[in-house]
Amino acid sequence: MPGLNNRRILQRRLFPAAVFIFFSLLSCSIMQPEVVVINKIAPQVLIKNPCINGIVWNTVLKYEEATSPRRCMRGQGKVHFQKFDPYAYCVRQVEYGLIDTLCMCDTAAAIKDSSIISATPLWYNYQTISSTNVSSGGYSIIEITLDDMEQDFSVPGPYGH
Amino acid sequence: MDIKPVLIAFLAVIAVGAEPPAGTGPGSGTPSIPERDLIDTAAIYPDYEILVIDKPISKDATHRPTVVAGEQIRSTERTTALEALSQESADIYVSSRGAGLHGVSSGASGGIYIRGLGGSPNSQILVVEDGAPDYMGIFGHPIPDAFSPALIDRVLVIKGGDGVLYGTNAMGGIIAIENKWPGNNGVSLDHDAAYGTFNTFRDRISLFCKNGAIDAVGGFSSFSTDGHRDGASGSSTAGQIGVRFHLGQSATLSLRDKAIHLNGGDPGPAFHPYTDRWFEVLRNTFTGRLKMSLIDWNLSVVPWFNFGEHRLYDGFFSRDYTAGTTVEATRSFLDSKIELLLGAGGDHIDGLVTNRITDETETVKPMSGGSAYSQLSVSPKPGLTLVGGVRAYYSTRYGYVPLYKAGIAWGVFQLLTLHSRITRNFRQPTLRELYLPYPTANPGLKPEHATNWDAGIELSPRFLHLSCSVYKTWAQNLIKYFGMWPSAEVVNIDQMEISGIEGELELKAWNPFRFFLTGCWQNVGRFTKQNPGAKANVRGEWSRTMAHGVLVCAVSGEWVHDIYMNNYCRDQLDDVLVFDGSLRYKAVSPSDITVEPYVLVRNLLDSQYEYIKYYSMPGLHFLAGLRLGI
Repeated sequence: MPGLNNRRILQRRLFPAAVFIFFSLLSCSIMQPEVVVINKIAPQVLIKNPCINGIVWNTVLKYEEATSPRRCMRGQGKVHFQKFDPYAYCVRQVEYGLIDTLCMCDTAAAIKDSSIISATPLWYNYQTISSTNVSSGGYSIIEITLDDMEQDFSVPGPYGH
Repeated sequence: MDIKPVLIAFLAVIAVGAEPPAGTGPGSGTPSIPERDLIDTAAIYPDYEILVIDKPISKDATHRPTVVAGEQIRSTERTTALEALSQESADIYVSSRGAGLHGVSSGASGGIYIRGLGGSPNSQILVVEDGAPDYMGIFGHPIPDAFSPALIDRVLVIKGGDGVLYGTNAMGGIIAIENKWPGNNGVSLDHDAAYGTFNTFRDRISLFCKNGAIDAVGGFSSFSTDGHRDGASGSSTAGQIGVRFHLGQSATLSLRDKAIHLNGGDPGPAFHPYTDRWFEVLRNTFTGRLKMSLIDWNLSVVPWFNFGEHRLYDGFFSRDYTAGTTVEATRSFLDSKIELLLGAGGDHIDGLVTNRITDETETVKPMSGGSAYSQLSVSPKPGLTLVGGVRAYYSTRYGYVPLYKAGIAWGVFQLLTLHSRITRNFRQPTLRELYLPYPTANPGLKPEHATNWDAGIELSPRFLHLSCSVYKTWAQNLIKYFGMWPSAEVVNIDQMEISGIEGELELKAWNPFRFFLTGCWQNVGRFTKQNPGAKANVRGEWSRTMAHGVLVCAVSGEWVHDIYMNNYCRDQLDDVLVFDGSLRYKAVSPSDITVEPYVLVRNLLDSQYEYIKYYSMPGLHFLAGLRLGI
């Protein structure tokens, strides 16, 4: 019967093929390593948009906060991120008289010429000094610490077209 | 709701239903007809009895173009159709950056180098589709992702250029695309859908219909992917329709329109991904073609109109137009020992560029050109062909430009052919290079010129094909980009020489195996940016006839050596070595329905490699699909 034949074909050919393809597709996803980044720099330092091996977390991490685990390409890479120190920023604002008072800091003589400093907080590019090797199927937790970070001048210009 | 899994399941159900009935299946007794008589590889894809209008391989018999069948492009293991061309000849190099789209603007791949000319942008390579040039008017180059293979019959890659027959931009090479038309009355449909890693979905439908004196074709292709990393997602949708009227015995009028919509982004370097650098491209190309015989002349008139809109994340907006017409007449004399081709053409390019954020408009002056050309082919004795040609090109900006060519092909024996050719080609600067600040404008630019020479030998006994060519290019006033904004320069460089050698070996009659190897070495001098020094491609295929069809297993590989990100051999990349594979089961049911489930496995060795620095390519990944032909 055609119906039986179709069922046999389904059992003997298409089903194994479908299983093979399903696991092949699944294995590609599972093979990609997972990575978590934790901000361990200092209590007052924020980091933004950490990225490694082709993935970026569009988020801001406060001290000891972690990103969610995400899959990235395997290989060796540094974590690149933007750093902002609100405490240092506020101290400078007080120094230049852009804000009146700030607890935790001395009452430095205020400079009334506000044009010499921008009121916009600046996030500076940093990267880890050490590289992390994330391998297929692996799970890596990368802690960003004060003694393992440097300014990042590696962001290239556009490749151009 | 995501319809992709549903569609795949639907196609799978159809595939099961399309299997031959009981009685011919395995385990169901002796088939009524010997199985091997039922199965013929050539009958699996009769190509829907398609006829092509221009069947000679090339208008110039001394060309030795790489000919790639549309079927080969559609079933390639490589990621994009352009990369499928690169796989067929080592002197064609196409960069890539991911799992599907090449993109436009910053961070784009798809730079096409043919014998050391071309690249990023591809304005030294001319794409011609059904006789009409296809390029973005303002930037003067073809869009890599607009190369949609749904209806392609075959592609000729003419290496070394041919400015006499094709005019401006045909400096490094020409990619001539010929689309299909139906041959016999009736309707045929081909549907190919695939799904794979990175949520990649690909769907192609082509429809052919013939009713008496009217032929109609339609094609639709869609592609979407999440990409192998952040920012690498994108989609493309292309649609084509065409109609051809047979006007009596000796004339045809065909009209085609192709529209394409691209969405994607520049993913940025892997250590610093971008997720917001998007682009959107919408393009439309209309081509007509009137072919007729008049007394002893064959006439061909091809008008075209191409326009497009490009939008970028930074506010860039452009709208460009190119329009033109080519008229050609050919005639044979003395029992086809002499063939004369006369032609004339003209084109006009215009466009506008604005920034939608700052509302600034750039001034762009339109350009027009016209030309007359002729080619004479003489065959004084069997196997020997001499070709000469001249073109007089007149540009509204640069005045009169003379171009010429000469070639010889000599079949010394039946199996051995020698050939040589020299061509003088040119490219006028694009509107972008003259007027736009990307990266900077230079209205004083002069046109590029190149003299390309090649010579080669071909050996074709029954079981193999062996060929080898040496080539050399002397180029003047090439337009090169140096530095980056705000200190960028776009200038003519004085002189550049490229020399190289390429070869091919194909083992044809070693059933069930087939093997193809091509290799190229070249010296590109100082201008090494994305212009590799050596490249090799290999393809092996094994097929086995089974109960209901043919199982075909293929592995292809690419090795690229000496890739630099910058000129003067700076920023070298590691050599690329990558292998892709495919497994296909091609079956035809008694009701002439073809069913072809397949799996494409890319980067078999899970290599870490990149064609563009920091734009890492994906690791091992899959695409599984099903193709139906009715």
